Amino acid sequence: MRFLSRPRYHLLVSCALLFALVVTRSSIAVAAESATDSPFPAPGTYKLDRIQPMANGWVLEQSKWRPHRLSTYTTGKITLFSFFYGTCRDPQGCPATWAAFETIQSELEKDKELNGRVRLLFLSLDPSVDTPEMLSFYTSKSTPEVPWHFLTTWSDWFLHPIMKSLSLTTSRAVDENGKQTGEIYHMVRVYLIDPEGWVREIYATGFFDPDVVVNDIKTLVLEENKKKH
Amino acid sequence: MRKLLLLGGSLLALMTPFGGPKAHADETCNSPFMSALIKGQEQYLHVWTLGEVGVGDESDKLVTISVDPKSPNYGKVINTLSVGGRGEAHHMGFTDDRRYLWAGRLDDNKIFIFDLIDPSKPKLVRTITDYEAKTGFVGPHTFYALPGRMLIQGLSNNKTHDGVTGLATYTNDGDYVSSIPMPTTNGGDGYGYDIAINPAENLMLTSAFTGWTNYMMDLGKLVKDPEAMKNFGKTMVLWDYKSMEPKKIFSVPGAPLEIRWSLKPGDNWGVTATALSSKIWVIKQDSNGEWQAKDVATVGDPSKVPLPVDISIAADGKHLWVDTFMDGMARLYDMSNPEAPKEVYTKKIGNQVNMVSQSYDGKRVYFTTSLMSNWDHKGDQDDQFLKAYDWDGKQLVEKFTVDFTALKLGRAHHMKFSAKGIGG
Repeated sequence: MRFLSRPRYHLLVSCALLFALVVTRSSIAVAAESATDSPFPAPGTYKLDRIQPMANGWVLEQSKWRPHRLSTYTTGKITLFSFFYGTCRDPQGCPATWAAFETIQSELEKDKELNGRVRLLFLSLDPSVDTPEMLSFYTSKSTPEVPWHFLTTWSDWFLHPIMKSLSLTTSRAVDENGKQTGEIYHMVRVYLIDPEGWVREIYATGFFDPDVVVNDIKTLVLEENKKKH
Repeated sequence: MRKLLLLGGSLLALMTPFGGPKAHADETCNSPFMSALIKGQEQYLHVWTLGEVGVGDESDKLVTISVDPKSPNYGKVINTLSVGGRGEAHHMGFTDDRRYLWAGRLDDNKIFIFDLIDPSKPKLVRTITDYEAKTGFVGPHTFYALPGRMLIQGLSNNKTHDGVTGLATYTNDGDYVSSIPMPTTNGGDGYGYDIAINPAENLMLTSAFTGWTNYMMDLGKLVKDPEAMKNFGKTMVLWDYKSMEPKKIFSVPGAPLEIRWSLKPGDNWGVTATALSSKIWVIKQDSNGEWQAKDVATVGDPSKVPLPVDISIAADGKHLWVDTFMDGMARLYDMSNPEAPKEVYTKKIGNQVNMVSQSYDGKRVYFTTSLMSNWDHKGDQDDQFLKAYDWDGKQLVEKFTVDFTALKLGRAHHMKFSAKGIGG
C-alpha cells in the first residue's frame, strides 16, 4: 500500500467528488426515460439461469486493517455488482454504470416490498488509488433502504483472482513514453446475484436498461417469496 | 422507440497499437453483445479448417493468415494450430470480450476454446467434451456471445439424429449452464441453425437446417433420397430473448440459414437466405406492428439449386453479399428497399464457394470454399482456398489467394477477423 502526497490526495478527492457529480447528472437523464412501451416480459413470468457461483476473496471496506470475505457482501440479499474505479472518465464506462445504479437504487427505494432486500456493490479495479479511505467519500450514496457498498482490496494480488473467476481481464493505458496514464481498459459487466450467491444475470456492453434490471430483481424476489411459502 | 442506456467497454475498442480508435470488423455478423468490433483494418484472419485424409497432418486446425497490407507477411499463413482428429469443423464465435474464440465440430461435438491474447498465435486453452452428454444435442453450430456467456445453437440430437435440437448456454470459461429445446408445437419443426439477437427489441431469431444423418451424408446420395430431403428446416422462430420463450413461428420453407439484423440505426429488419428454395426472406414488422417473414427475392435459378449458403450484410444495411455454393458465385444485392432486393453484381469466385466475410467498412471481402466434408465438390472441382478481394464499389478486385490444398492445410471453412489490442 503506498501513501499519497497531500496535493495528489486532494486531486483524487476532487476527482471523486467530480465523478459523483457527473454521474448524478447522468442519472437524471436516465431516470427521465419511460418504460411504457417496454418489449421486456413482466417480473415473475420468466426464469433466470443459475449461471455460475459468484467469485469470492478478501476485500476491504472503510478500513485497510479489517478484511472481509467478498461472500459476506454477495449472499443473504440480492446483490447488484460491478467493478469500477474512481478515476474512470470514460463516459460509457464506470460513470454510465454508476448512473444506472443510481436509477436502480431510486426505483428500488420507491418499492417497499424491495426495501432491505437488495444491495448495490462496487469493487475497485484500482486498489492502489481507491483505498478504503478514498472510497469512504462515496458512502453517502448508501441508504437504509438500498445499501451501496464500495469495496477495494489490498492489491492486485487479491483483486485478480476475483476478476479471473468472473472472466474479466484489464490492462493499463500507457502514454507515448510507456508511462501508465492511470486509465484502466476494462469491459463493463454488471452481475445480478441471488441471496445464495449465484450469478443469475450478466449485463454488459450492449444495452443495459435499469428497468430490466429492476424487473430481474423483482423476479428474484418473487422466486424467494415462493421458497418461503 | 425505447431509450436504452448503452454501457461501454469503449476503451477496449481503443486498445490498439496504432493509437487511434480502430474500433469495430465480418464484423457485421458478430453478436451485438461483443465489446470491440474492428471498424478499421483487420490484421489477422482465422480460418477454421477441416482436416482431410491424405492432406498434411490430416487434422482439423485453426489457420491464421496475415491480412494487413502493411505486414511483410500479407497474404501468408503465419500460424496453424492442429487440434487433433477430424470431427467436421464448422463455425466459430467470439466471447463477448473478444478474448476467446470458440470453434465447434458437428460430428464429434467437441468445442475448442482458443485464447487470442496474441491473435498471431492462438492458443488452445480448453476443449469442451460434454456438449452432447449435458444437452442431448448434436452438432454445436452457432456460437453467439451473450454477456459473460456463450449461446450455442445445435443442429441435431443424439436419439434420432434428425434436425430436432436446441440451444445451450455455457459460461465464458466453458462450463455448462442450461439448455432449451427448439419449439415443436404451434408450427415449430424443432430444427435449428443460426441465432441473431436484437437487444433493443428484446428479440431473437433462429433458423433451421438439417440433422446429423443428412449433413454427414454424401450430397450426391442425399439429393437422390426423397425421404431424406424432407428432413430440412422449414421455419424461423422469433423469440422473447429475455424469457427465451418462442413468440412466433414463421413458415420459411427450404432451410433458412444465416440470419443478420440490419445494423443501420433506425432499421428494424432481419434477413436470411434459404438454401434449398433459393430465396431471400426479410423479417420485418407490418403496418400493424406484427412481425412477419416475407419472401422478397429469388437467388439465381432455383431449378438449378444454386444453394445460397452464407450471407454478409453491410454495416449500413444497404448491401448483402450472398454466396451460392454449387456454382461458386458471389452475388451482391442492393437492400435499399429490403422488401425488394436487387441483384447488382455477380462474380465467380471458384468452382465452389461457401463463406463470405466483409470488413466493417465493406472495403474488403473474403471468401472460403468448404461447405461440409461430404458436400464439397469432388475431384478437380473441389477448390479449397481463401480468396481476399477489395470492393471498390463497382467490382471485386482480387488481392491474394491462399491455396489450402497446395499448402496441405485441408478444407477452408469459417472465418473470423482479429487485431492486436482488440479484445481481452
